Parts: sequence; structure tokens; C-alpha cells
Amino acid sequence: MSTSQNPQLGNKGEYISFLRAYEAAVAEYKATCLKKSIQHEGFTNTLKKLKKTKPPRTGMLTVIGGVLEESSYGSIDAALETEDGRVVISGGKRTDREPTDPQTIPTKKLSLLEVANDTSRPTSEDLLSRFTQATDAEATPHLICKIELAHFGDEQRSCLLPLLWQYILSHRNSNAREQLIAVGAAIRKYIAIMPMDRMGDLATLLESGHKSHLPVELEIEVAKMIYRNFEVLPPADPDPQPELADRLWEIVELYMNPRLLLRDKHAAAASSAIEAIVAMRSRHAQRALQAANGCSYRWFAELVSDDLDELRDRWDKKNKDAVAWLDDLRQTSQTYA
Amino acid sequence: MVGQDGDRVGFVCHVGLAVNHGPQESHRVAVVDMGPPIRPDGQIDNVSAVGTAVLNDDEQWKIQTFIDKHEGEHQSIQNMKRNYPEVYCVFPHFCDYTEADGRYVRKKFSCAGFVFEAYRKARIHLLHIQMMPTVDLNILKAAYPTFVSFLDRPSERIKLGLNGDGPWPVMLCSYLFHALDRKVGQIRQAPYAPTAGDHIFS
Repeated sequence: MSTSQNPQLGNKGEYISFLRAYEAAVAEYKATCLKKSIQHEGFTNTLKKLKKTKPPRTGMLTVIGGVLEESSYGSIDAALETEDGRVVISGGKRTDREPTDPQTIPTKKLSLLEVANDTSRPTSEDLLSRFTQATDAEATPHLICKIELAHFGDEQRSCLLPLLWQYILSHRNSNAREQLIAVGAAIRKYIAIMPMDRMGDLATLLESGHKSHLPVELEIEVAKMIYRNFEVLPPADPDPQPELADRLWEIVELYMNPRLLLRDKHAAAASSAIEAIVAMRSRHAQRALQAANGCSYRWFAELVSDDLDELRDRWDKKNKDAVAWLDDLRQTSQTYA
Repeated sequence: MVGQDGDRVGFVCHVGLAVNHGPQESHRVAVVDMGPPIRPDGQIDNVSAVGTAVLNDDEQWKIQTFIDKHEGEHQSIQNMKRNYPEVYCVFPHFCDYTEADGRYVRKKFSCAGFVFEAYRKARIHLLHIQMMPTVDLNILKAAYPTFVSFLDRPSERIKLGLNGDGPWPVMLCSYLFHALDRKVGQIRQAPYAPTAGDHIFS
């Protein structure tokens, strides 16, 4: 493009020409020095001296222009014009900012600080790339657990969600403890970042007709995360995911049997399922709460009641309608205090 | 509840929930504690402090259910020691590890916070949260002897919830033992309000 077509390039074009002329002059100077050295000290000595010199410094490019964009999750993408051509950067990080109050910093910025302070930790981009390219054997439990800890932007999440879902479905029946721990991590991460209007998909995980139903440890994670999602984002309308609530109710019906409730982790699964049903404002909420209140074990009813007190406190800051609904529910279910 | 002193005698730096009640060898006691992360099969060596609220069966069931709910979300971090900010907090004594929109995969605790919350689930409110005395950086370093190098750096302190240069109203392990060092009825009647100097329990 000539300078007459783009006046803004005029100075830049001259600068590039100057750089090229400078490089040519330096190359000519080096060639002259080499000839003189060979003349005075001989070829062998000149060669020895060249081998002792350090390799030329590389990697420094002069930026002529370009655009730089900071994403919502704090990473930097840039398209730069240098004297060596175009350079595109993706997922860079700024190191020129000071942190502020940690209790007001959104977690996405806190994770940026962690990455900036510990360059040995993989970035979310690294983790996603490894997960995307990994075969089934390479998607190790350790990688999944690291993914649970990382924070991902909107575009990254859209890539990550189907990968996590596939991992969960592929390994949910594993007998290996390490694998099940990773499935738990995948479940928590998946549910924490999934679109709320897709929560109904989780009913697949809790289906009782599957070749082997989910271990109780994973049932706890699913029910707990469903509860947490609606705890943080209370449903505007009642019963947003009826099929999911049906699956949770099946867990309640099964584990509230007094013969099972005191078995390993069953009380945690049952209480989590009841609380998730209530948090979803499901049509099952009243009988779920009545099941808790009518339980043979008074401590269980008190536990659920106390957890619902906390749910009410959270909702009180977000959605008064949901609070009113919850108050009415507890009153009609004769909440045990 | 069992505790372990740090470098200074009487300064309890770690606390856990004893798995078994009754007399035990103090050189090694099986506990459930916030290592970090939550360790259902942890142990405390050379126990320096013991406290009990004489929990009944119902209270023990509630605490066990609390542990069962949180244990799984810390298992995935058992072998990732460098990820302490993702599981541990100093102030407040517990908080959520959140995504951008506030949803969370895990609750983080301090070791004292984990024990406090376990008892709170059993409806035993050991401490007055709103009346916690402030402590300065020197006391915190004594409370966290293995974290001294981190506590010296403001950028690391922030990750643990400690903004600025202090002092901060941090829940220290010794406070819990002061709370339990009362008559059993008193423990359940009213939470203990720690005062300055209660970071030492002897």
C-alpha cells in the first residue's frame, strides 16, 4: 500500500525502509570485519573466535501498530504489526496491575493474580487445549482435577462443557477410586458453569435404569451442586426442571428408608436431594420437606431445617418472591425447629 | 477436638475433630481436619490441647453428615499442595470458591473454621463471630508457621482473604479450646467471646 493511499503508513513505511537499510549496512560491516580478521589472524583463529561468541539475541521485535483486547476473564489477545511481519498473541497476561480488595475481586481476577504470581501453573487455555487434544487415556484424573480449579471464559466454557460431559458419561461406572474422584470434580465443574436452562440434562446422570446407578458419593455431588446453583440463582418460576426433580425425589424416597439412612453417606445424599428439590421450587418440595420432618431421626429434620434457614438468608438478598414461597412451604410442611 | 501447638508452647496452630472419643495416645491421634484440604483420615501428632463438648449421638450424626457433604470436593485436591488458595482461607473462616457468576464448586475453610462450622451444624455455636479480636501479622505468622513466607507478601495474603496490613479479626485455633474450657452446659448456652490474648491456650 503506497503512502498516498494511506497517509498513516507514510512514517511507518519510511521507518521500515530505514530498518532494512540499517540491517544491510550492519551485514556489510560484519563481512568487512570478517575479511580483515582472516587477513590478519588467519582462517582457523577467526573460526575459533566466531565459535566463542554468543549466539545473536533473538525474540525482540519492534511493534509498529496493531490492536490489543482484554477479555472478560482477564487474558489478552493481540494482533500486532512488526518490522518482521504480523504477530498474533492469544491468552497473554498483564503484569502491570496491582491487586485490590480480595473480597470484592471476582474470582476470575483472583485467578489471574495466581497465574501472574506462579508462572509454573498451567493457564486455563493450556488446560483446555490439553483436554481437547487428549485421548481417553490422556485425560487423566489429575488433568480433570486441575480443570476444576481453573476459571474459564465464556468461549472456553462452550468448548469445555461437552468435553466434561463426555468424560462424566465415560467414567461414571469406573471402579478406580482416583477415577471416581475425577468424575466428581468434572461433575462439580460442569454444573457450576453450565447454562441454567440446561440443568434438566442432569437427569440423565440420576436415571435409575442405567446399567449401574451412580455411587452415593457422586449422587451427593450432583444433588449438592444442583442445590448450590439454585441457591445462588434462585428460580424465578417454580419447577423449572420437573424431570430432574423427579430423579432427585427417587433418591429421597430410597434413602429416607430408616434402614438405609444411617448407612455410609446416605444421610448426606438424602438431605442434599431434599434441599435441591426445595431450592428448585419443585412440585415435590412439600412432600420432600414432609419426609424430612417426619423422619424417625430428629437430628436429620433439624439438619435440613438449618440448611433451609441458610437458603432463606441467601435468597433474601436476591429474590423476595422465592423467600415468600419458601416461608409458605415451611409453614405448610410444619417445619421441625 | 484436638489441637497441636506451633513453635510456641500454648499457641495452638492446628485443630481437628478426633475420630474416636475417649482416652488415646497423644503422640498420634486420628482426626478429620482441614489440612488443607479436608482429610477424613488425617492425624495430629503430639497433641497439645484437647477439648470436648461431650457430643451426643445426634450431634455426632450431624457432624458426620457435614463431613460427608464436603469431603468429596476436597478429595480432588489432595495431591495439589500448591493450590492452597483454592481450598483454604484465613479470613473469613469459611467462604465459597466461586465462578464469575457466584456459583461455587467448593467451600473453603481455615482449620479452625472447619471445626467451628462442624460444631455449628450440630447447633453448638462455639464462638461469637462478630466479636472476634483483631490480630496483627506477627501473631498470624506464629499461628501459621509454615506460611510465614506467604504472609510476608501482600499479594499472597490477599489470596487468603487478608486485605491490607491488618490487624484482622481472624478465628484462631486457641479460641475454640477456650470455648470448650467451660462447663458443658455453658458451652451450649452461649458462644464464647474471645478476647485479646486468647491466641494462647495453656
